[in-house]
Formats: sequence, structure tokens, C-alpha cells
Amino acid sequence: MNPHTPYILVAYGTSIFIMLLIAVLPILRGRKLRQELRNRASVENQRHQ
Amino acid sequence: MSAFISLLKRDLLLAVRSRAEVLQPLFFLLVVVSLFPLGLGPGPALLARIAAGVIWIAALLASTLSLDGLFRADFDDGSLEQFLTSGHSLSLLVLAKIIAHWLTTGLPIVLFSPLLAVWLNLPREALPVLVKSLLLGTPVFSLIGAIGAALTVGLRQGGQLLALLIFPLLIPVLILATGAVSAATDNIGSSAYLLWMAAYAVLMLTLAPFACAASLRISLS
Amino acid sequence: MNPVMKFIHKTGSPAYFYWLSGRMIPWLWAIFAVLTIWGMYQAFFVAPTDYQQGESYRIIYIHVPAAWMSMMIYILMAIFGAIGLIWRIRIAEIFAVSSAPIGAAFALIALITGSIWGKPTWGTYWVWDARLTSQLVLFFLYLGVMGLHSAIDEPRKAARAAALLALVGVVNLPIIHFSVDWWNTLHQGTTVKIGGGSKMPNSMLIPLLVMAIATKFYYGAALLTRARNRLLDQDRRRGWVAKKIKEDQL
Repeated sequence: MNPHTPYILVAYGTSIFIMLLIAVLPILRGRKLRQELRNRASVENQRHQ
Repeated sequence: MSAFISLLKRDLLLAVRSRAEVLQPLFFLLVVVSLFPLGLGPGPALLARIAAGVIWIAALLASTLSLDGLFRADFDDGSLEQFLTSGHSLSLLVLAKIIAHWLTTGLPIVLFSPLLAVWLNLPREALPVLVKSLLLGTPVFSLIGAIGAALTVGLRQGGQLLALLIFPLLIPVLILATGAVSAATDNIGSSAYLLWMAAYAVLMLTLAPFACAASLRISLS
Repeated sequence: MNPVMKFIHKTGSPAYFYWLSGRMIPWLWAIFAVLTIWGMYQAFFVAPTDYQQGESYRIIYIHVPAAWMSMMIYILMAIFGAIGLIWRIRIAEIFAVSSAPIGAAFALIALITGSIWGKPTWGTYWVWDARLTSQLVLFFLYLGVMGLHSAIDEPRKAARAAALLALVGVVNLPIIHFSVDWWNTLHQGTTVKIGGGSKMPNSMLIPLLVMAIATKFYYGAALLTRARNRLLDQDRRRGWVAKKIKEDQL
């Protein structure tokens, strides 16, 4: 194995981790937010009926 | 213009009356500077090499500490709202406050710096350059710091946040000033650094009051 | 009204923006994925080994694009902030605020990969080299914008304050870079030249450019995702959100 391989692996590993974190967290948050809004709308609908 | 002068007078009078406002940053500066020989050892050669950096960083901390309160009293008693609705140029009023701040905290630091230089064994030929650099650099602290103070006025974690906002912006001043002093210590011309500092100070003098007034408008909205 | 302002106002309408960005995001992710796979393949299997640095130079294929992006996003953040402050366009404020964490992440990636690259090349993880130091200061500037934004509770006030700080930062950015460069040449002891003036062969350069373009699509997708969330969160009681829910288009 090339002596530089661990450095490359760690560099790309941390980069991918940070980029995934920045990309995935808002997607999950958005999903939760939309679910919450939909639930509230349906609760309000039932109250109206 | 009359509003500018009366505000300047009022702030200076307040500072002179309370006295703590002028003396506390100065005492803070003395204590911080005296910690360095205690922490690093009293070797004269080492102290002479780090003197300019230590004095500058201590000055940076001392002015930031006092900047935190720049708009606080006026914010608490509603004077800031009055400035906003008074019809006078807010930038001009802010400039008056910044000048008053520099006269009460920046200028005393400049006047005290020769004493600190003696403590830290700064070479004698570098002393005038240190004083000149402080004279050009501390107004920039007040000017940029005022923008940070205006943005953080009325916030709970004001002090630490203010430091986080303005320290990165003050790095050029620190680099140019310590560069000037070390150039003077090595007996090569330091005027290039000082001229750059003067240019930077003039740039900030023209831009900062507007940015500061805009920040206050946002903070008070 | 001129067509440019008309376009801005149309895309500035929350419902339209929400719909359009929802359509764009999958495409942006897809283009990013394709470009990244292609770029990474080129970077690891096509580009030759550097005769001076060995294999470790391959870190630049993430380091350099991340450093470019962190700079570009800061400037874009200030431009969005200026548009938001001057014309009071809310979507621009949201873009400015949503850009900050992405730019900070790229700055952090550039710092981490830069110091990992430094270990086999310079023999130490951290050197106060001009570029690394500038990158560190840029990261601090991002932290300041994010810190100010999170310290203010009222969302629009927070966005406007952060935008103003970004503008002040962008005015100072060239001065900071210049002074850090000067500082670095002043303290010659630790400077290490990277690369020098040597020219890169195309097989090394192309993956770099591909990655640089790929990260722009990543930024676009991440920015729009964040902006949509923020818009929805701020507008949760507005009519257009209720309408979207009723039409099952949320």
C-alpha cells in the first residue's frame, strides 16, 4: 500500500462526511416540517367539520 | 452639526463624570500586559521580540471590552430611538459616539503605551513607531467595533459575540501594526506599513459610520 | 417594470419559488452526482502520480474546489445580502442566511484537507501558511455571520443583521488576504511554496475543473433545500402554504 493512502482516505472521508451532513440534515428537517404542517392542517380540518 | 457637537460633549462629560469608563480599560490593559512576562518568563530578549504583539493584542482586548457598552446605555434609556427619529443624520450622530469612544479609551491606551513598552523592554528606536501605529490603529478598533456593537446591541450574549464578529475584521490592523514595529526594530523603513494603516483608517472612517447607522436601524426595527 | 425586476419579483413570490425550487433540486443533485463520479474516477484512475508529492497530491481534488467554493459563497452571500437589504427582497435575505452554513462547511473542508495534505508534504499538520491562514480567517468570518444570525430571535431582523455583517466582511476580505500574505512573507521562517509556477498537465487539471463545477451544483441544491425550509418555516401561517397543503403539493 502506498504510504499516502491513509491521508487520502481520511481527507476524503471527512470531506464526504461534512458534505453529507450539510446536505442531509436540511432534507430531514424539511420532511419533518412538512409532515408537521400537513398534520396540523388535517387536525384543523377535522375541527371544522 | 450642532447635534454632533452636543452629543460628543455629552458622551465625553459622561465618561469624565463616571471615570470608571476611562480607567477600567486602562487597568485591564495593564493587567493583561503584566501577565505575559509572568507567563513567559522575564527574559529581556524574548520580551523585546514579543512586546509589540503583546501590547497590540492587549489593546485589542481592552477596546473590545469597552465597545460592548458603546450603545447599551442609550439603548436602555431609549436615547437611540430618539436619535433615529430626531431628523439628524444618524451616521453623523454615530460618528460622534465613535469619536467620543476613541477619545475615552483609544487615546489613553496610546498615551500609556510608552510605559508598557518600557515594561516589555521594547527597543527605544521602535517606540515612536509603536505610538504612531497605535494612533492610527485604535481609531479603526473603535470604528469597526462600533459596527459590531450596533449589530449586537440589546442581545443577551453581546460581549462574546461582539469579539467573534470583530476580531477577524481587525486582523489587518494587527498585522500591519506589528509589522511596522518589527520593521522599526530591524532598522528598515516602517513608513510603508504606517501609510497603509492610515489608508485603512481613512477608508473605515468614511464607511463605518454608514454601516454602523444601518446596523442600528436593523437592531432597533 | 423592466424584465429583470419582473423576473426577480416573480421568483420572489414564495409559492412560485417553492414550486420552482422543488423541481430544480433533484436535477441539481443528479448533475452533482454524475460530475462527482466522473471527476473522482478521473482523479484517482486517470490522473498520473505527481513526481514530487506522490499520491497525496490527489487531496487537492477536494481541497481546491472547497477553498474556491468557500470564497465564492462568501461573496455570493454578501451579494444576496445587499439585494435583500437594498430592495427588501425576502428571498434574497433567505439565500444569504442559508448560504452561510454551506460556505462554512466548505471552509472547514478546505482547512481539514489542507492540513491533512500538509502532513506528508510538509511533515506537520499545521503550518501558518498564507493560504491556510486566510482560509482560517474566512472560516471565522462565517462563524461570525452564523453566530449573529442565531443570536437574534426575530427571523427577518436576524437575516438583515447577518446580511449587513457579510457585507462589512466582504469589504474587508481583500484587505485581510493582502495583509495575511504580507504577514506571511514577513515571517519567512515557515513559508513553504506550494506547487510553484509549475504547469499542470491536462490529465491532472481536468478532474480539478470537473470537481469545481460539481461543487457548484452541490451548493445550488443544498442552498435551495435550506431556503425552502426557511421559507416554509417563516410562512407556516400564510395562505399559500395552506393552499399547497390542500392541493397536496407541499
